[in-house]
Amino acid sequence: MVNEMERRIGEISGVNVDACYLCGKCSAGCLFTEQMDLLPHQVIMYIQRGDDSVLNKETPWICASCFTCSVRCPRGIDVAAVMEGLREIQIRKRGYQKLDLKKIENLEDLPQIAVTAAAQKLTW
Amino acid sequence: MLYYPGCSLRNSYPEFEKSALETCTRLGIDLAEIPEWNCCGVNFSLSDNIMRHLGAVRTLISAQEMPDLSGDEKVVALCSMCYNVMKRVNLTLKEDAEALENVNLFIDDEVDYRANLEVIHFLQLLRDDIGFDHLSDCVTVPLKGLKIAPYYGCALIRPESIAIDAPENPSIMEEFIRSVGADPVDYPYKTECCGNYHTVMRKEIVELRSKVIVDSAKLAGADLVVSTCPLCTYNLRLGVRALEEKTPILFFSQILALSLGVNPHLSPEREKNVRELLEGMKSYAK
Ligand code: SF4
Ligand code: SF4
Repeated sequence: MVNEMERRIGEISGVNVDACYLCGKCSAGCLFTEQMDLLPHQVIMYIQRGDDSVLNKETPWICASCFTCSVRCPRGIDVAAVMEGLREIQIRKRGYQKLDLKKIENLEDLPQIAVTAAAQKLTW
Repeated sequence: MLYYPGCSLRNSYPEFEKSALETCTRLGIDLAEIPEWNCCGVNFSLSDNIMRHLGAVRTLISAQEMPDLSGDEKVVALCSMCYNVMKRVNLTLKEDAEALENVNLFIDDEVDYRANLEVIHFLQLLRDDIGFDHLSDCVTVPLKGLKIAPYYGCALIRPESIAIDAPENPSIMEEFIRSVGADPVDYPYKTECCGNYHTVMRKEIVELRSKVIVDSAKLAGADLVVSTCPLCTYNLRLGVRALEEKTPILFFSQILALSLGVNPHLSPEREKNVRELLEGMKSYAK
């Protein structure tokens, strides 16, 4: 039986989290684990266990959508999409926000795509 | 071929576009800019929501409706993030009939998108349409002895469905570098992420990543690093600032322009550095 967390992630991201056998390859290749409070495979494990405390972790917001994990997963799991699913659940709950431009250093120098990308990833 | 410029080339890094377009004139590539294009959206939505990409779809419709097309034209992008999103949107619409029907129903003020176009990156145009062999025949100023580190980043090679080359060990940029007469530098971080949009709110993450990437290229002997993405370029330059030796980060089209003897549009702060490098190479070659 899929639990509620698995069902919601499946619905939003199209990923069957249950297929993951927790080998840890995604975490081994992720470049941003130093900044994370849960490793990518642990995020999957929390979802498999139906533990919704994963929603309050920093990891999905640290994930840079680099797709390294997604191309390497032996079970074909799009881990990057799972991370986006988790962000999405939070964003839908708290409502859409705006990026506070006053808080951005180097706003003048930043290429336009940087600001657009951040606005989407963090506030969509 | 149809040409999609994208926002960052127009607003942040005109040297990328200008150098590329001038090389096209030299190589006899005829690019027609898509009228009334929109921002690609920068990120492809991973949450199965094609409605987030209406801007990109409208651009594709506008391309499809350009006069005198044979019906299966290619849309070329220079920025790798534009390439990634436009390619993924187009691929979704080609493969998912329901998604295509939904967007066409929604965009009822335009003709339907028929999903006949192909989206490619400029490097693919050089490889598949011009050919790297032919390109090297066109080179008038071979960049002999110049050691160039290719930086792929993420968007050109991941996910696999849109990769322009093997995701784990691509070589298209190395082939390109060889065709302009320079030596590609092999280093372990060529496909590792620069930190992407964290540069906006969490700059420290990007500085950390970029420093590792540029440092590694430098250690492997690179005189300069070439990139295909305005955001990667910005981020790698943040990393360079933290290093003692200043490695220039250029767009691949600027290297191409240098080798074809057309204006590389180097910005003033990089002009001197790159010219010195090239002078050094000449004396080396003698
Ligand atoms: S690499 Fe795939 S199978 Fe292995 S832990 Fe990560 S998501 Fe699970
Ligand atoms: S997509 Fe996210 S989780 Fe996966 S390797 Fe990249 S940063 Fe890590």
